[in-house]
Amino acid sequence: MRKMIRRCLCAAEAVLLLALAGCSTQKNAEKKPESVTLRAMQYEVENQAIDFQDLWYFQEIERQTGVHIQFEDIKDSEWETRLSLMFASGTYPDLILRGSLDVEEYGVSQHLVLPLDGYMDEGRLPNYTAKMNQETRERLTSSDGHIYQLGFLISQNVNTSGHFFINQSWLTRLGLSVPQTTDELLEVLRAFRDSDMNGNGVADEIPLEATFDDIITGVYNLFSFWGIPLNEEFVFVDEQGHMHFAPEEEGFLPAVQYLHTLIEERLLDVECITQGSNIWSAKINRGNTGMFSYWRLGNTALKPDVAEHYALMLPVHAEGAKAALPRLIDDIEFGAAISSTCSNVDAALRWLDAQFETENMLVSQNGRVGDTLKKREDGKYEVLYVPGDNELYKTVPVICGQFMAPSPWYESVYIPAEHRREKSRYCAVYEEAGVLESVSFRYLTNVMQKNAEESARISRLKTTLKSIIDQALVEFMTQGVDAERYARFLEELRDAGAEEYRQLYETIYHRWKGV
Amino acid sequence: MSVSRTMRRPSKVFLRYALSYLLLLMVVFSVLTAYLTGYVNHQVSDTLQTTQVNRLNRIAQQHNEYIDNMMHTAEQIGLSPYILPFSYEKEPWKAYDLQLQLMPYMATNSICDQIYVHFAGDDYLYSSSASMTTSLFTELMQYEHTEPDTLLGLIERVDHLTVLPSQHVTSTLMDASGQKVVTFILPLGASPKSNRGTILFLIKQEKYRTMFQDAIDTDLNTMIFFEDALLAGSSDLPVSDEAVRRCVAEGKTEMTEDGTAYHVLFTEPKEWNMRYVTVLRKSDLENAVHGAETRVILILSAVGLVSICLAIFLATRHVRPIREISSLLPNTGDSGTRDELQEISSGIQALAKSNTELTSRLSNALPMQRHAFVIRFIKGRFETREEAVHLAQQIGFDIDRKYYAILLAGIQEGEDAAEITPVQDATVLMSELVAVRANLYLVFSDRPDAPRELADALCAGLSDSGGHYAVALSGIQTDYARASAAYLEAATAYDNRFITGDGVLAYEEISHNMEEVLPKAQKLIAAISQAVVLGSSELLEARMAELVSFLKTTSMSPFAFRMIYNDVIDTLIREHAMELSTMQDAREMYNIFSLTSCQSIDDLNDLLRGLCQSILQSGSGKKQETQTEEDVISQVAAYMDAHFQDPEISMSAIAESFDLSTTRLSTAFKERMHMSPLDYLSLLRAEAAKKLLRETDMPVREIGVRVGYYDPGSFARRFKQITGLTPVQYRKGQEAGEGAEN
Repeated sequence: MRKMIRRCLCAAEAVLLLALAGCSTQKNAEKKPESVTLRAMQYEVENQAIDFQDLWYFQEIERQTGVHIQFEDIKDSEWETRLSLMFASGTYPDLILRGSLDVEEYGVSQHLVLPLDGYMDEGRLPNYTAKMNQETRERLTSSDGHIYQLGFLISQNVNTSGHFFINQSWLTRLGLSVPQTTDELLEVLRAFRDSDMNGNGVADEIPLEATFDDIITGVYNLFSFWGIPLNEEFVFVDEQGHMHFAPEEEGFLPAVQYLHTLIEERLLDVECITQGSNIWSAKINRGNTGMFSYWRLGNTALKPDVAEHYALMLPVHAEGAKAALPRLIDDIEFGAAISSTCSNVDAALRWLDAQFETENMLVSQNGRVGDTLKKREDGKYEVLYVPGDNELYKTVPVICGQFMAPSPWYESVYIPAEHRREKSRYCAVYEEAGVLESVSFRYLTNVMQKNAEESARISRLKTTLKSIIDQALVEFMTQGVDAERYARFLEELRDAGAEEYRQLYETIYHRWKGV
Repeated sequence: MSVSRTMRRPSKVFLRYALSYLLLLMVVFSVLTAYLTGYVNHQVSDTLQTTQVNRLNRIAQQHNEYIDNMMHTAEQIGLSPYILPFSYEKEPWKAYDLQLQLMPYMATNSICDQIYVHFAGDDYLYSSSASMTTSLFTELMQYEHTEPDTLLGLIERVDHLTVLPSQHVTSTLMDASGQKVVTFILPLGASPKSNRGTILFLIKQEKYRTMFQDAIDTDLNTMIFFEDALLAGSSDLPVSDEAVRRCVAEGKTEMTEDGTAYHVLFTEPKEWNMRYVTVLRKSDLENAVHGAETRVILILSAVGLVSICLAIFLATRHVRPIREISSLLPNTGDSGTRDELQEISSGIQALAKSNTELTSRLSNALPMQRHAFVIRFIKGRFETREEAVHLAQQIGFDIDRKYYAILLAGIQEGEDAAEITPVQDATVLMSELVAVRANLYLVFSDRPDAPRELADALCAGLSDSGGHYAVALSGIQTDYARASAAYLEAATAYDNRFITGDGVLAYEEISHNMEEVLPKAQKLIAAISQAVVLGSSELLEARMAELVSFLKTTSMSPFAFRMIYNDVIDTLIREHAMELSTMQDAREMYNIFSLTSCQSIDDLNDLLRGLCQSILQSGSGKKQETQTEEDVISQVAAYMDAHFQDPEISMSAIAESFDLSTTRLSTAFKERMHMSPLDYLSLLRAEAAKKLLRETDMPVREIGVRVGYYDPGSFARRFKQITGLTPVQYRKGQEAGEGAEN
């Protein structure tokens, strides 16, 4: 009898729980949005903290398209690793946004991203297609004739990423002029180090601040003093079309020895070998840094009250050398790709294309119309002001969004903001001073077409070479280097295929140039 | 009995029945309701609380797994031969190598947003993407509720797990500034005692919550406390985290805030000093319990309604027969003062009594007694003359006379059967034989003429009334044992009326040649009796054929042959009384009336043959059959001895092959062997198995198969039933015995 009652009660409880579960499910169901949801892997600049999920701009695009995106934010430093892991895992997001993507590998060879040229021809990316010209289309076309990516292009006549800035206030206080040679620079930096510039009685000044392996804030830019435009590919081409492998350049050994001196003398922040741009900017924002290289001063991670102390300077040059910084061109970066497993291609295309509608696109870079952006009577968009401290990233994705604005179309619709004009001015100065490499390395990396096999081989060789070079650089900078050690280093590089790497680039370059 | 009384009595009875049932039901349901509501109350409340506690334990388990993962990572990093403490100042290149080493940990971990390593005695923190001094870290990581100095202290001196509760962190080091972050600070390496340093795991609250299968969300009012500080979780109930924290810290399970009472369920802190807490509004719990109680009461009410209907139905069914009985009972006149059921009871007793009296009266009625006596007399069912005389005296007749005879007279329409013509010095008993449509008269007198006088008188009487008036008269008899023969004589004479016409038909007058026939017939009768004694059916048939052919040579009427057959049968019964158990049984087998209904010699022959066969079968044949069955059982046992190892052996197959039914086989086997065939089979198998268990190392399973069991389970069960031990126990016992002997 007791057992029977227990059974009856169990049944009654089950009914009760089911009823409760039913209520809860209903409640949850009401919460769910009705729109299409896609997953996206989103690149994020290292020193920004962008909440893509709640960004006003993407909410607006969602409102226009009915497509909701679940963003997975990946920091710049982790992008390559996470991308490789993602493709290796076999589970792909619907969209890959910004950062970089080897479309030859993942598109042409592995077919893990969809070709988009068919959709363009069918008119399913009308806004995007309208902005492209023949040249951009050609540059985005892969070796198999298909286009696997949407490009990201801001035509703004920028010719270098790393301008040098020196603390003009300190120079003035010390009565020093802007250094022009490496020796003069050494003296100025020593003066910065020893003069308690911030007046706190502690020798905490950082005469020269940098990060490590990039061409905006990194020590790579310092090699320009010896005429070596060191970039992340370690190759550059001269006017005669000869391909150079940077570590083998004559100035490389004196350069690293100079860097060792800087570190040894506490003129260059030793933490440059491990810090990222967020730590870098945090340190500069403390207001006790003498010199650094950066994109520009206005509207960056630097606080305006700190930035105002700095002035542009030309790169110094070593004795007998002519300064040469890596040159930028209006190159097309990777904008977006749709994975082969995308759950709703129509929705993905709709969502992406909406961002190329002229006003949407300009807003994504400059903020809301009526807020920071104005639409003038002549139809052009004018930037009213740029909020400091990266405030723009709280509403719009800025450079992490989608953009396709080739010249001259861009000039016909947009009057750049002051900070852009600032950058243009710096670029003009450097161009005029002739401190940039003659042929941009971006032709090698972004423009000239490599086939999949070449692309893969270069990628493999580069990974090995970069590892050797960066580790050696750290060693040389922190522990010093002599000719013998340098010779061993070169031998190590040759063993790792440095010559094949250089020749491969040269062959492709010549083919592209029609030599 | 008035109509109103008839109606009133059963209504009261109905009410009494209905009320009794209802009262009984009320008692049962009251007890049941009280028990069930109490039980439900306890059960539902228990279930809800158990569910919550189980959920908390599940969360705790998942949480511990994640913490274990982090501990494991901390251990791996701490124990890695490539990650050794160093000073950034002295060996900055090692910081670069460390970053490379940390990259895979960061890239492959799915829990944390950031991992920082700090070596004891150093003032740097390292992650896969940045290195910085601890002071810069605390400057850049602005915790909402944790002061930089506190954070610094925790980073530099941690000898156990520390968790910074979920709080807003503003930093460019985070991918989204201002997010809520849970920070775990663990000792680096396998043991805190090694003091190698610390490791920080930063987990965004959003991600932290999704770590648990049962999300720690508002709906579920779940909170995780670490050392009395709220780590994560929230509640949509209007209770403050602080109040819950206080309640948990004091170990209370109930709390009241703003006049509302709450249950606070929590797990005891075990690993990592974590408490998992959930808050339930008391009224919610009570509502759930009341809801369940209400449902139980509703269900019981529904069952109760059905039971009331059932009670009314049963009461109606009980009252209906009472009502019927009541309407049939005589009115005792004092119903107003007596209980209705007692009244019915006494009525039934009165009826029973009157019924007994009636039966007694009826059985004592003279005509019936007379008829019974007459039939018994002519069937020859009196052992002695004195017995017949005594019984006749009891019913008022004196039959102790020298002579007697039997008369049969036809029944006339409108005749009063009881009217007997008086005959001087004679006792006459009359009975109507409905089957032969005749009245039978037994006439006892000391004068041999008296029966004839009665016959004449009856004949005269009958002739007056017109129509046929035959009266048959048997021979004058003296021996009461010859009554059957006398009846046959009268019947034979009566049957002759179709030949001779009306009037008195005396047997003596129509059986003038019987005296010649009978001596010859007697020889043939003796021969038939002898054939029966010899038990030979063939001989019996031959003798009977001889008798028939002899009788056919005589010129007797078929009716007179009955006399011969009566003699034959009488002789056989007397001589073979032993085979037919008792004389009484033998006489029961033979009925004089069946003889008189025979119309031809073949009918008589059939009757005779039937009797002879009965004698033959019940006599010598029985012994022979018993002997044969015993032999069969011996053969069956022998067969089982030889074939017990065959698993296919079955009782039905054995029974069939020995031409017996399974039941007969079983019964006969038990009679002979004192056990069922199946038990015998099991015994044979068990003995064989014992031998194999004792003398071989063969596995038990194989022994089972060897002795006729497919299934080792069946073998073990049967073996244990017979020996009291399992095969393994038996073998062990034997081995132990041997060991002891050795």
